[in-house]
Amino acid sequence: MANVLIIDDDDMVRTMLLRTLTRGGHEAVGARDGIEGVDAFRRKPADLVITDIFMPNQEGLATIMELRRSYPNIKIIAISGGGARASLDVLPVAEALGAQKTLRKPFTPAEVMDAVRDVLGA
Amino acid sequence: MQRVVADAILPVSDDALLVIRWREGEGCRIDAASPTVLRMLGETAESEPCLQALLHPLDRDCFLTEIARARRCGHDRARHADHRVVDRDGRVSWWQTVTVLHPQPDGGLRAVSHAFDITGLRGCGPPQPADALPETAQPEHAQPEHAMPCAERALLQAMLDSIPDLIFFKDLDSVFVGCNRAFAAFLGRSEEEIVGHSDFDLVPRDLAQAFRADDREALRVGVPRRIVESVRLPDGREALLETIKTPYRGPSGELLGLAAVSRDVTEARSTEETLRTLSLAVAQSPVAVVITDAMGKVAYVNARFTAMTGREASAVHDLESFALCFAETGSDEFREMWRVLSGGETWQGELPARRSDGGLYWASVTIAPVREADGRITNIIGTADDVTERRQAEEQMRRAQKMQAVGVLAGGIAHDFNNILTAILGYSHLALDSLPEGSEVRDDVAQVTIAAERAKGLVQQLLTFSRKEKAGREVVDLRRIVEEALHLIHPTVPLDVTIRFVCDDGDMAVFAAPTQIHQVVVNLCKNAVDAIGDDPKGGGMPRLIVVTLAHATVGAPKELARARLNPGRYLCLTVSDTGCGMDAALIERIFEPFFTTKAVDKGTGLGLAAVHGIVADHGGVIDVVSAPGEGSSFSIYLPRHDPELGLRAIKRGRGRILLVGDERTMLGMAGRLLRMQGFQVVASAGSRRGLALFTIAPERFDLVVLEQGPAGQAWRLLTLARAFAAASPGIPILVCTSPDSELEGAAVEAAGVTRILRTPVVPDQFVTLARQLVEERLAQKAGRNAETTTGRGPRSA
Repeated sequence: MANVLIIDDDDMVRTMLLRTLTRGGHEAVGARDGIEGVDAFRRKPADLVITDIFMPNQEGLATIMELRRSYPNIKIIAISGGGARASLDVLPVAEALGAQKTLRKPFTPAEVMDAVRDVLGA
Repeated sequence: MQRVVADAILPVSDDALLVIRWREGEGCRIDAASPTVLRMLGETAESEPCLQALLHPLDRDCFLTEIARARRCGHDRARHADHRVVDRDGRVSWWQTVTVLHPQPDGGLRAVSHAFDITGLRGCGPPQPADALPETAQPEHAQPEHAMPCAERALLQAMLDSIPDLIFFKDLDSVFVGCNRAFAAFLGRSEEEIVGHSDFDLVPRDLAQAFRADDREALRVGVPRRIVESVRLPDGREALLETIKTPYRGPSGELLGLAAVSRDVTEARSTEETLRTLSLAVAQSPVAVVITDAMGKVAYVNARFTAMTGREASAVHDLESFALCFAETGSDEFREMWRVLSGGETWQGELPARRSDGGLYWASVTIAPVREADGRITNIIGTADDVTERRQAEEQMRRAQKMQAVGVLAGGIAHDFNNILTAILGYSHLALDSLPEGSEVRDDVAQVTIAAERAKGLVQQLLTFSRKEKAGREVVDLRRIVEEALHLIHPTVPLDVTIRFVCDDGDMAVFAAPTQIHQVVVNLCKNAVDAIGDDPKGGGMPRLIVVTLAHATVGAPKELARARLNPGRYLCLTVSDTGCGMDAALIERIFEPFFTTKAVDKGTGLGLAAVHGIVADHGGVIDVVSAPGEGSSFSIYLPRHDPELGLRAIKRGRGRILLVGDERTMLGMAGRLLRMQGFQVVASAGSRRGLALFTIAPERFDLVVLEQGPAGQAWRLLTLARAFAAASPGIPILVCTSPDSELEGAAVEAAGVTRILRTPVVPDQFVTLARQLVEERLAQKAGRNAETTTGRGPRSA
């Protein structure tokens, strides 16, 4: 069992991830953007952060960098379905910035659980 | 004739010329005459020689009347109707005479008559003795039938004068013996000035010589001779004369002279020239031309038609066979063509046509009626032009635009769509997990997941068109990817379809995005399976897919079936099937997005389009060979990875890089990427600070990376770049800027910017480029150091 922070501005995706992880036996909390996410993490550090990249207010890459600066051992899974205007492939960048794993939307609950297991197990 | 002997013999160049100088008065006394005339008059005459005595009694009045008329009309000469003369022995001859009048101040008249003996010409036989002549005037009908009465002669002359062609007669010596009015007008002379004279008296000498030569030639050959010559007219105009000179003969066949008809063909000739030019133009036209009569029977086929269609002119006998070169009977185009044509209108269209050798091309065909001034259709003209190249260019443009549109669309919807799909896929899976095995609801939800999976695949393929999506590339073993992909696809291939994989030995490295290449192989194989089809009623036809991977080295640009391969070293991946094959028209369209021949639930119409996009992105070329019923073969040529480049890629970066930008995020990311590659990185968030750092010790840096945020202005960036370039000439400057910034062309070069990368920057590309620029700079420095060292050598010696 692990504490997981899920940062995604899309309610349906965030809720789906929360349910997936909860059913998978983890404790999960959600945040709607990077600022909210970093705040939540500072209040209660999680074992794993799953963050979307394209979000309002503070996007995912900045969030990854900020979290990593403060918590060098943080474990992060970056998820993205591409940008709204340019379908930019940012996941490699997220990986370069220190995300252990990336998942391309759409994905299945099983894929999420596999990734979580991989990252936490490592 | 004593009186005339001494001073009255008129010297003439030719005995045939008869000249008489006489004066008005009783009997018309002859003052002088040429020798032949003198002989006719006889030397022993008692009385004074006079003209009246010489003239035949029947023609005497006519002769004198003609002179009187000429005087009355103020003419200086009289042209007589052919008339008879009688010599002293009573022999009758026919003369053609012109009398030049010299009126005297006292009202009297002196005259000179010039005559030709035309007896032979008139065919009146040998001269008759004088006693055969009637003593008195006879009625007209009593004349010999060949002797033309005065009135009849006048009629004949009037008829000749009414003919617009130039008509003239010459004797054997090329002296004019007659002409019509048109000829006289043509020369600008009166008839009297012409008759009795030769060309030498009338036209410039060189022209006269030419005429004379023509006359001789016509007389020599003895048959009508057609001459076309350019003549300068009295009014100075140059005219083209077509003259037919016909020798004429006496009753016994002896040549008497020339009858000639001339026509001014200047106009006609220029029309002829125009027609000739037109006909040459049509014959050599770069457009195929076929001309038929009003009924559609082919009258003309030019060479281009044969070259273009590959059909012999003889194979095109009517309009229908012309049309059949471009459209098939019963096709819509064909029917439409006839509908329009039968309405007397012009039909125009572009049709896919097949050459006789089977080659396909696009023809732009026009069939139009040719109308007379009154609107009557006299001919039908068909033209055809090979517009294959233009069509191909248009097609490429259209396809590119479609791809682009799909890309933009995909980019726009992908983000939202993927979120939606994540929810659908996620919740349906979650629901699935909590539903009991074997329940009906579970099966329903399972269908939702399948549908969502399909949607996912579609979005992925759509995204392939988005140029901005560049999957991470790495050096990969193509053989391994192909094997993996085949392994993946194997379970979906029908059991009776065999997949065979044949692979060359040796290095199969390409610099590529493995997932994309994977997709290429899978898509091609799926396509091959679909082409082979479900129903194995092929009757012993092998159901086989052969995948081959081979090395291909191209020395000179190579034309493939549907593509062109530039020189280089390639890896060629070929997927061949024994399926239904495709015709050329189908091949044309298979790479188009959304083009599919498959049932709605079987294909998205994006598979091959995605393959095309991926291959193009990788700098590769795709070729297709197929024919209906003969299977298809797709070949993909990917540039081989250069191991040299590979080594460099593995090598750790060395050198120092200055990063300047206004966004800390970006700087941090770029800095991190470069440090990971082993470079030393100095980052500055402010441009002034960055420039200051640089100017203190420019030699410390091997590359400057300028990053411009979305809000940045182009001129600021360029000014900054110039400042860096000025501080250290030759320093490589790499600019990262948004795709829509106006950094273009000469200004950029002038500012000293080495390369521009448009955001979003692909990390791989960024690092590779940075390394390349640093390496070049280091090599440059090393070269300069070497120079400096050798430069110092002599001084230290």
